[in-house]
Amino acid sequence: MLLLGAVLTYNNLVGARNAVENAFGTIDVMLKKRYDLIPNLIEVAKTYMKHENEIFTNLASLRARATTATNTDEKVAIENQISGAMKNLLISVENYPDLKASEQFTMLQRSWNETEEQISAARRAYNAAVTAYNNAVDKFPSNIFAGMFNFKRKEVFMIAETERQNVSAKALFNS
Amino acid sequence: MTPITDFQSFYQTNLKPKLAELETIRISYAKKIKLYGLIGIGAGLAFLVFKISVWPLILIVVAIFFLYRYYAKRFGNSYKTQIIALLAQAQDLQYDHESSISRSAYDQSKIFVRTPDRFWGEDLLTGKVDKTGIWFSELHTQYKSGGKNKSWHTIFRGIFFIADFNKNFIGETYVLPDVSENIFGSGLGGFFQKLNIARPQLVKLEDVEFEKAFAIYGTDQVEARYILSPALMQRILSLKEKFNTAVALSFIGSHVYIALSISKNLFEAPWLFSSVDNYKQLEEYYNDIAMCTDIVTILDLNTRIWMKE
Repeated sequence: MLLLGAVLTYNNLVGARNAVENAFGTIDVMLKKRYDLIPNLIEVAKTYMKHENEIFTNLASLRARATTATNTDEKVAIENQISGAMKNLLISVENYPDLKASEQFTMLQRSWNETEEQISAARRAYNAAVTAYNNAVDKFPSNIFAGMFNFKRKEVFMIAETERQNVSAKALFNS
Repeated sequence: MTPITDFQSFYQTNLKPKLAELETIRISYAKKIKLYGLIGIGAGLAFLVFKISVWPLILIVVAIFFLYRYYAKRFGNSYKTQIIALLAQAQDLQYDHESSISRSAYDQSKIFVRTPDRFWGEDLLTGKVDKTGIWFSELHTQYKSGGKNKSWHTIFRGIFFIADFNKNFIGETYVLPDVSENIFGSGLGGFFQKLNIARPQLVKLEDVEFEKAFAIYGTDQVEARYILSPALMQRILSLKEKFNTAVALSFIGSHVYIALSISKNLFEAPWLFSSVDNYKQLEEYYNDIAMCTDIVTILDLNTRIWMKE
């Protein structure tokens, strides 16, 4: 009976940990989608926006750094910068009505919003998985096994203050 | 769409003439019933007074009842096709009082686990609010309990609402009243207990208020969150507050299905002995329709900034 309880508790911990890894994988997939969009966006925007080279080079270098970044903290930091840079770009677009009206750009912007929404969903799913995992690590009796088999608490994704206002992209789009 | 503030002028210019036409029909029906009623009851009383039998009077009363039903139905149909249809038209909707949300659409929504043995519906309204297609009607579904004393139990009664959803998705996501909130009626206790087995995985969302009101299930954890953005969760809560009733939703196959539990029978004609020209009632019907089309705004379904056109 005790053994069965132990096995179940242990398996529960492993399940929770795998769920976290799985959720993290999903974020990665969504982020890759976003990286793929950046060159296309720059390409289209460049033809209309002659005087915004700074924004483009910044975005391009951020993308390059993001694809090579290995540790999570660095990745998160770059992600936040990308979101900020994108917001700058979208604000500048206001000065270029031709670009704003172009169908190609509208489509790209839509897919940008789409991936943003997907990323945010993936992050929230990740956080939910981490919370479930941490609960298992902290709560009795599974905390005994967590200690024994070295299950450590994991950190949830913090969303940068600048990014919390992401909804403003929508306002830009509608204006 | 005509805003509610315009109802007064809409009533004066569009409804008044139609109401006048209907009123003459109603008066003629009411007269007929009164006339046959008086003759019939007089004759019945005569049988009673002369102590022949009480039966003729009873039979005549029954006959008058059926006569009333016949005329009330005829009148009700004209009321719906002329007046309610006009109210719907004013809000860019088509109205068909004999149709309803189909059984297959109801089944597709998978909001209710139990298969209904009786499916009834009427007053279908369809149309578009800006870019968003909507369909809604009254529905009443029931199941028959087995055993010796067969009896009917309600699964759902109220407004069943379907709209195009503004995001693409492939899985299924359900937002159901929380198990502890036994609000769909006593007959449904079993339905809620069954949930856990019949539903995909539980989705734990971070909005505490939302979690308190609903139990969320989904085939995909990320997709469920993609659909149920923090903004939409708040919007669903305000929807629940506005209708002040049990609300269940499902997101399946590019549509959102919404079951609003309401016990009143909507869009019924007044009875034959009162004027058809009842401003308050007409305004209420108008507002009932507006409240349903308003769901599109409440849930912000016209925002098309994602990939779905």
